Amino acid sequence: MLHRRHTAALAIGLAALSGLAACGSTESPADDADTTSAAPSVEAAVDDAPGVYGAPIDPTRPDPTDVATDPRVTPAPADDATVFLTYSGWNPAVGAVEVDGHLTVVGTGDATCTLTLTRAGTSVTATVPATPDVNTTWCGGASVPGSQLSPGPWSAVLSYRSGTSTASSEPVEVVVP
Amino acid sequence: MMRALTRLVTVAALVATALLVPTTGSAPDSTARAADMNLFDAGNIISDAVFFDALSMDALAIERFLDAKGTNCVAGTMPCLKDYTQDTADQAADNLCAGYRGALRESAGTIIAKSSLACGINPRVLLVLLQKEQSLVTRTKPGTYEYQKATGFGCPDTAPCNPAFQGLVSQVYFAARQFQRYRVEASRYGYKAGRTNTIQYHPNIGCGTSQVYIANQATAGLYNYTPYRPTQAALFSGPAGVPRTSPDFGCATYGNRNFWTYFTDWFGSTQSPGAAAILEAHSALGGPTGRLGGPTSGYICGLAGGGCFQNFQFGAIYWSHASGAHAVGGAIGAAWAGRGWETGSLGYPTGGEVCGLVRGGCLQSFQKATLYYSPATGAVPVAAPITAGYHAQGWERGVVGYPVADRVCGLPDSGCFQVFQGGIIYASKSAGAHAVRGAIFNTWGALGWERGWLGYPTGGDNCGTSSTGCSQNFQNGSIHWSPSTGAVPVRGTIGAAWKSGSGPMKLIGYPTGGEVCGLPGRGCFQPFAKGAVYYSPATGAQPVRGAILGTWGALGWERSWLGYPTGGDNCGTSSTGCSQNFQHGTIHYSPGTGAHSIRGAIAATWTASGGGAGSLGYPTGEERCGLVRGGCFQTFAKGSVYWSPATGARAVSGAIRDAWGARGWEVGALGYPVEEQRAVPGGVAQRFQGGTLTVQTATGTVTVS
Repeated sequence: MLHRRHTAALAIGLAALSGLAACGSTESPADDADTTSAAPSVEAAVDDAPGVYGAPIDPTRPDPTDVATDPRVTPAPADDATVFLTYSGWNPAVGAVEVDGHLTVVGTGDATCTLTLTRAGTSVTATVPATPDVNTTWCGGASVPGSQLSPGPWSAVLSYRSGTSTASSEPVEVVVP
Repeated sequence: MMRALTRLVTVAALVATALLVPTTGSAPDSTARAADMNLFDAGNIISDAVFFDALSMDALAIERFLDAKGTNCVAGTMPCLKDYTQDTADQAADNLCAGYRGALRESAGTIIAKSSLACGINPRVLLVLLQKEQSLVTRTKPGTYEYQKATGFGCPDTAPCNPAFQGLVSQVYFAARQFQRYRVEASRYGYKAGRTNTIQYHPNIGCGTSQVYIANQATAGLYNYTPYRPTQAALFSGPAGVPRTSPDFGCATYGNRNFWTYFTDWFGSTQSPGAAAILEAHSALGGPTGRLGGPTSGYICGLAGGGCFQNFQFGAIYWSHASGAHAVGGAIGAAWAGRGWETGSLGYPTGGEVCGLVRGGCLQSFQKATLYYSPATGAVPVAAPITAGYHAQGWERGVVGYPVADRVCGLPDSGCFQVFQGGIIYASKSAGAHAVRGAIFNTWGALGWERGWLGYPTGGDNCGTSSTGCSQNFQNGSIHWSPSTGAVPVRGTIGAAWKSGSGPMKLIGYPTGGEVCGLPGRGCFQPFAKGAVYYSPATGAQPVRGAILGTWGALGWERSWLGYPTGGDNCGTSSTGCSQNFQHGTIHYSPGTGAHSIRGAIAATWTASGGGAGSLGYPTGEERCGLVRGGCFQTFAKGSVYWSPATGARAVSGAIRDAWGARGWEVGALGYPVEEQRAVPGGVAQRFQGGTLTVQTATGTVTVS
């Protein structure tokens, strides 16, 4: 039988580990520290991490309290929304200018994003659908093939437009080789 | 089962060791964290292999994990996650996830496991997500809000939300689905793997940005989900975060930091060279539609030498730093598993299975051996010290073919042997590894194999290249085979003389029986197809053959007056006659006269007459004694020689001999000859004890004077 029954090994391993560990509270580790002589040993084991991924784990190791978390995002006023560029540049693999970004507020459906490349009075555009997400709205995948662009520096602006609002990025320079 | 228990003992021992490490620090407090933030890599927060390890925990394991983490949790307005259950509805499959089959009263563990499997996301990632977003794994007294925002993700963005598919299952399933969407539809999102991206530190753009090369899709997905990277101050501020009094407080974000720290603390490193190598190897073999099929387990690490493995439908991939990642399966895989997997006698695989060998065979290399498979023999390993001998025989293409049983060691001189289809390979420290087969093997075995006087083979046989016969050398001799003589050993002086000899030694053919010792004078002999070789310390090893051997034997062999031969015969070089010297005489042979011994005074007289080519020719009988007055005589082709103590040895031939015979030979009046025959006018004459016989050649007239 080639396939191992690894789950059984891990399950038994966990049981054994839980028997060795002395403190398991995730809410009051300080109390544990004051009461048992085994507690420091557990901490010693914790300090040995990070362990090897995929090896048996000890879920009874204490977790820290007071873990800082991100504040809830307060939506910016729609008038203040801008497009933040996560990437802009020439992609030699596909021979195109690519510009990605996201709206600094959660947008609405049925929106579009337009990449506008401008050079010496000439403008070339590409439009893609906006993609709403958990914390933002993405303007991803806008690109203009090099066949439409002359070599040299171009000014790139990524704009968001929905039925109710618009926003744009600050212009950035991209160079077409 | 033994395998599982062994693993358990090993792991438990390691952990126990860790737990016993003394600490000089004060009591643990909230600042005690395992994760070394120096290892946080903003461009590679977690590897793809780990992130998409969908089978890393099953529902039972997740439930046990939640029980352990939530041991002190008491219900709030909602139950603790460890106690949470809900009825779930069906969710249709799409291009991102395989769908969800609803059921009654499903636990959080089941929901997480099913969602992970459906969308191909590591359930550990989802556990960390639940903790990172709302601390649901460890918090006490959870409320409705924590469950509504359990993963920070709700219904899908583009598809209508199934009103029946709500609660924790919706949060978990659609979060998993979203991470799969980041991979499948990567172009729609802003953070992409394989390029340098601009990432904010904080929603407040005034906190600045940084350029980050995102190494993999998993990390890109995390940034798409939470598009901020932690500042240095946030990374190294400890779990509680940057103090409010710090100037860095306003720009600190923790989402991706917490993802990394929770994952690291709970499940080990977010990087796994083994998992990555296994993932790559599986992909190279065609992924789920390749010959291994899809995975049936997560990555299991912590094996000997830091190794990992993953099971698939039709095999497994094993990895270690030293050996790399290689698939095992089928008969070879079963044979490997049966020998203890990587901790057994073979070690880790070091290459893939190679098929197309003769007679439908395959092989696969492992650290300590190579497994050979054929339909006729199954899968059997070949390892040192046998390997060298197998190589010398031409591997499976050679005369020994495939192995049929594992090697057996523990023989003298660190020896081992292994049975193959066409022979057995023996190996020892002193003699190397060589195959023994067929009749030679049987003879060697009858003599006690390596424990017999022959010892180990020191080379292979040459039977495949000889049409007449063949041989094989051993430490203390050799065995020689021919169709008519079978396989017989030779050794020592006889063996060496026979093997290196020329002339008659070459002509006696293959041995037909073993060496026999204990002869007079510490002599030995060995029979061969056309003769024998006799040895004594005084004479060395000499061949005796044909008619000469017959005559010598009739006289009593080495126990006869002739003694041992002192050289070979010269019959191969003479067309008329030949001879062989012995310690005390010579045997002469010619086709017309046969072989007869000759010695002493008679021999001297015969030699003086010109030997076989002289006036007497070759002897036609043995010396015969018992004549009157102590005489002896011997007949030759053209005469006789008579000897007596008083007269010496004299040749008698021709008409003289006839006349002498007519007068009664030595018992007649003439007695023994006292001189050699001489020529006289008109004839010949010879003087005897009782007178001189003269014969006139022209008339035949005989006179005695």
